Amino acid sequence: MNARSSARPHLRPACPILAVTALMAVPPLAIPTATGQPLFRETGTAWGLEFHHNAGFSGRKYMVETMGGGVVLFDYDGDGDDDAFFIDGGPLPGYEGPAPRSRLLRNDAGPDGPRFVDVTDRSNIDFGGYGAGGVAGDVDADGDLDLYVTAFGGNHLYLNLGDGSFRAAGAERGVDDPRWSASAAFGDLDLDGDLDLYVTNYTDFSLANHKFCGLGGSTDGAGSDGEPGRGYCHPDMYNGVPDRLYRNDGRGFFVDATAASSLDGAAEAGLGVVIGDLDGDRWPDVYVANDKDPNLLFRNLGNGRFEDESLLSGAAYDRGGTAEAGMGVELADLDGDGLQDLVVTNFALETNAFYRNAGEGVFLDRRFPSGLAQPSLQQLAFGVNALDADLDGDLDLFVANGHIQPEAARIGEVGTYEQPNQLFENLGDGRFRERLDAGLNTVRTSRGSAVADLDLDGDLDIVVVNSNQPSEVYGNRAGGGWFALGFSPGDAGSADAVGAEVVLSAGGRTQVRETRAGSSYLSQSTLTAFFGVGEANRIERVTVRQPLRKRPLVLRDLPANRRVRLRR
Amino acid sequence: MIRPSADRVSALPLTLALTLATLPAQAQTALEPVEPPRMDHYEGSVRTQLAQAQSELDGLLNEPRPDQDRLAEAFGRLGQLYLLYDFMAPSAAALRNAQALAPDDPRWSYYLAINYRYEGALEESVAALDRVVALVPNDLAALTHRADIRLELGLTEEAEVDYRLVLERDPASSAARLGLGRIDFSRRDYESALERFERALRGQPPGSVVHHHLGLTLRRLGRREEAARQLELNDHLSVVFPDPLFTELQRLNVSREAHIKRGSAAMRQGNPRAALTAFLDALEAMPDDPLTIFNVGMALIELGEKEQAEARLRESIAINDNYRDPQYNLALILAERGDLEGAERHFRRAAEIDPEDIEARVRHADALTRLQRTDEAVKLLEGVLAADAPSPLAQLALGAAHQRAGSDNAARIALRKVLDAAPGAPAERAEAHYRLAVLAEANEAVQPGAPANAGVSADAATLALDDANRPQADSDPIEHLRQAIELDPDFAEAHALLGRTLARQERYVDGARHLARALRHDPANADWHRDRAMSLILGKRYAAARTGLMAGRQALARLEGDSARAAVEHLDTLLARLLAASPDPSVRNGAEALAIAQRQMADRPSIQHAETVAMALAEVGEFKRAATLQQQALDEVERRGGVPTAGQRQRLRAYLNDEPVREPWFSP
Repeated sequence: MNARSSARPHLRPACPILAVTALMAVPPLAIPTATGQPLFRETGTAWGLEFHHNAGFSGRKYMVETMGGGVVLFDYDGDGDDDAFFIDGGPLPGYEGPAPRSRLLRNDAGPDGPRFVDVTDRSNIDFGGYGAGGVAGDVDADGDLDLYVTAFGGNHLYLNLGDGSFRAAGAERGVDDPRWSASAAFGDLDLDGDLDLYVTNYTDFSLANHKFCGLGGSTDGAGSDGEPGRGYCHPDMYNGVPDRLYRNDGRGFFVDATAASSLDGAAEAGLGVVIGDLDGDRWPDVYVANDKDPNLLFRNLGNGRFEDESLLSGAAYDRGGTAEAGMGVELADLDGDGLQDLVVTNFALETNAFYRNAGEGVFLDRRFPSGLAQPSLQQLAFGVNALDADLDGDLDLFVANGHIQPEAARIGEVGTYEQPNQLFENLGDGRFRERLDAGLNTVRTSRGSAVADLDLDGDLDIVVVNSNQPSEVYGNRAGGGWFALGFSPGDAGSADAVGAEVVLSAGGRTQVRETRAGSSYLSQSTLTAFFGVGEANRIERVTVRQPLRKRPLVLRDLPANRRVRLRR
Repeated sequence: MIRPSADRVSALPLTLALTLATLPAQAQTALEPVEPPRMDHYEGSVRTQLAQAQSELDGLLNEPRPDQDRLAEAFGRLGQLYLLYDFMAPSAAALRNAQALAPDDPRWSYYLAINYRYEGALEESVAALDRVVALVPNDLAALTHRADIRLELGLTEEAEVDYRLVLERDPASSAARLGLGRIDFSRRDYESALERFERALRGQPPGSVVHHHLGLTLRRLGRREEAARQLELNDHLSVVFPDPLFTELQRLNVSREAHIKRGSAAMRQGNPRAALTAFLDALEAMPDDPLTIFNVGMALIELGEKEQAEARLRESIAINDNYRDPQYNLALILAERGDLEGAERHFRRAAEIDPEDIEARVRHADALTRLQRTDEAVKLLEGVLAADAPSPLAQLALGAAHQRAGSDNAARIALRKVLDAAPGAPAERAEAHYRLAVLAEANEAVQPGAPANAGVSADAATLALDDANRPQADSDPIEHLRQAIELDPDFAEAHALLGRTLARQERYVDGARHLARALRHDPANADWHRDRAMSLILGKRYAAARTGLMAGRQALARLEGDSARAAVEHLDTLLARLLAASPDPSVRNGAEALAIAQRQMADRPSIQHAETVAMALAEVGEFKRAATLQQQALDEVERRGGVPTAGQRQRLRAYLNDEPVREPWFSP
């Protein structure tokens, strides 16, 4: 017999001593805008859009407790407004309290604004495990949006039955990856007319190989101040786990194509993922934000295989050539040059990264010149969303922040456990300025975030999931002109709608958006493309390039402040 | 140990305010209170050092007319120390006071600049450096810092001026070349950037981040392969430049934690050499500190210095017998080098120190199992499981203990519980599948055709019940192995066992594929090379078998020791026979086969080697010599009291009939 010993030995690491600066996070002051009101205001209670994430805290500092949850904003009932699915944690050994449960809230938007109703029981979504993130797309091409949920110990696929309920089909469809998964994304990677699925996997942490990681250099299980000295482990204490790519057979059944697609070379601690055309060849590529491992950029070769261009792209490391603790990722044209740029959220003192797309798959780290780096030095960032918050015709950025160690302040970590979220206003030339007057006043421990026009007023609202705390919902009160292009119920979320590029020309400015199923951290934003058009009354031209159409669709001379839905 | 009283520390702002009136007008307007930070989680040496600095300052502030230079020095020293220990706000306040009191002293502006930069206040940092450069125009460190920050801020023209000034004064400055290269890169002047990066690399240690910039530049020049090579060389080591004031600041550091923090970061970045240096610095700050000694040991382990590491871990334990992690890691080292008694002792101690440490308790049990003390192991594990029933690691170890004790049915039950355990334990579930496969294989070997649940115990009855629901669960080793691999694609032993099992079912090519996967993880495993080669030969993939044998031989040749030599000899025999008797003519090479076989015969004469030589002789047409040698081999078998096999006789007949052998697959 050639058996191994009963478990693989892991050396216990040299005790990490955490950073020693204790800086208090100060909530931003709400400075009145020109209209006298902050841009955003909390509307969760008013809209009935409330969710309290439960991390299942055990007192044993299981690494999974740091993950937090995500939110999927998607129109599951096809009534034209986006609903919300919040992913909850799960009970861990030592946890005492009510069983956490992920929640589906239906948006019944009416003349008085949105009104969300909890339809979780009706939906039959109840997986009982420890959830992480989610993503929505029409995987079985039946005209409604299905839901994929990542988790610690077995992912789940819920097929939308079209009557308000879902059917669990993860194992049946071959996507019940048992490993600890984080963010996921849908995209038609082989352009064969169905949605494929990329799932990031984090580390091989398990309840069984849970390690002791000290706070503040404790040697005997007690901190120097006499309090329990156990902290959450650094990801390096465990091994990274390879991600997975599942190819859809056209009927919503998936095959693990990771190796066949040449994506099996890396075993990194993956957390965030986006799918989009990064090199301008119209084939969707994959970008993964990894925690203390180099980020990954896989270029789609168009023949079913991918090439690892991570290092060559310049988007694997920071500007000094060092791997960072990548958490969330956003892909959008932030500098208005028509190319999709990358923003990766990172740990405190690393700063968030802005990789400007220089064309041909080359990215330049422009975090400091863009103005995004400095204000993020003290923050530990997770969710990130590009949105034209003030409707002035360029993409601003929302970033959700929160530390992973509840004792962060006490042990002298940089930043506190609860941190203010941030809005960065695009100054129009790829430079950003933090807007402390945006009204993002609640200070919690944020994780996943997503945007959608929940109140159907033409601007994007923000939903944030906070770890073991109530969520935040920020209703946008921008007053400028807008235009929205989506796909009709039945088409939204199809392989032809996800990954669509929408180019809009209005008021002398051209803007580009791509629809995306999966971005930020553990989350998904609306599948409708939203544009701010400032003072413009007319939209001169809208060009829509869909993945499966050879010729673009061109719409001319449309009124502003309209929502247009394309039908196949 | 001197601990400052809380009253004394918090009194400073008040004292300062009362004293300001006595200072010159210029200083009165500039000085600001220095808010003392919370230091209760800091080690004593740091608190003492800070208390002394504050005491000196207090003393001056309590004087009726303090000397301004001395006061500046005292504020500056306090600001330095706060900066050193990351108390950024009080550091900045103290340094601003020092700067206000001694505006011509560049040190305080310099440290203020470092403080601001660390805090992300880049414009303020540049302003502080402006003051340094105004006072000392040739301060290359200040110029370099200012250039770097200006570059971060996108002020490329201003950064370029600074870098050029540095380069004029220090033509060997890698930092300036790196900065100028980055500016060239931003201007798309890639040829110039390339030249600068190449020159910046000179004088820098291997693994410099300059490789990163060089790689990206080559990429922009379309030289992709070179770019990829350079990018791979980046080991994240920063470009260093002489920075006397920063060095002086570091010298003030009496904190063990700061060094350990640096060492821990180096460890995380995969640089144990740098980590060791930092940990040794920490040890100097606190010579008998068990944590620091432990960290030194950990760095030594990473550097492969196991003996030294072991000594350090023992030293750490000698100082603090209640420190769990050195006990645990020492046990791991001892287990690895086969000292199971020692491993058992230290795992036991780790578990005693922290009874909630399931991993230590389980490994303690595992050591007992390996010492054949399976009853104790089982008892221990049952105790663990009584306290933490879902622990898949404990269940797995229990299965292994039962397996070692020969209680196969009990082992199966324990292993099944691993499979039924809570999610999030893929490694343990993979191993449980593997062990169930091993049990199924053993069962098949002992009782071919017998039902898996043959037995009379209560455990067996439970097993029978479970089997009714899951007919494949224990009886199909292949299914178990496939599931193990599904859970852990890198599980080499599972690949190897699956390869052998498939080969036994005459699915040779599939078997060889899995053995190849196993060899990826352990290229020097002689058994797997042999099994793979035999699978390929039996699967008629002779050329692949030859390639595999040669690769295996090469991998094993690097090893030392008798067992490695024996393994190489074994693979050589297989290779010689394949070259002599492969049915595929493109694989046969009689001369090479003969050379290998004759060398083996000369080194260690044996019947086996004689037969191989005979086979090779036949292949090169020397049938008569082949027949003679084969006859001698048969005679030797009989002389030793054995009976020649049918195959041996058949080969003799072939040689006598001037026929070569075309069956290379009889294993030596």
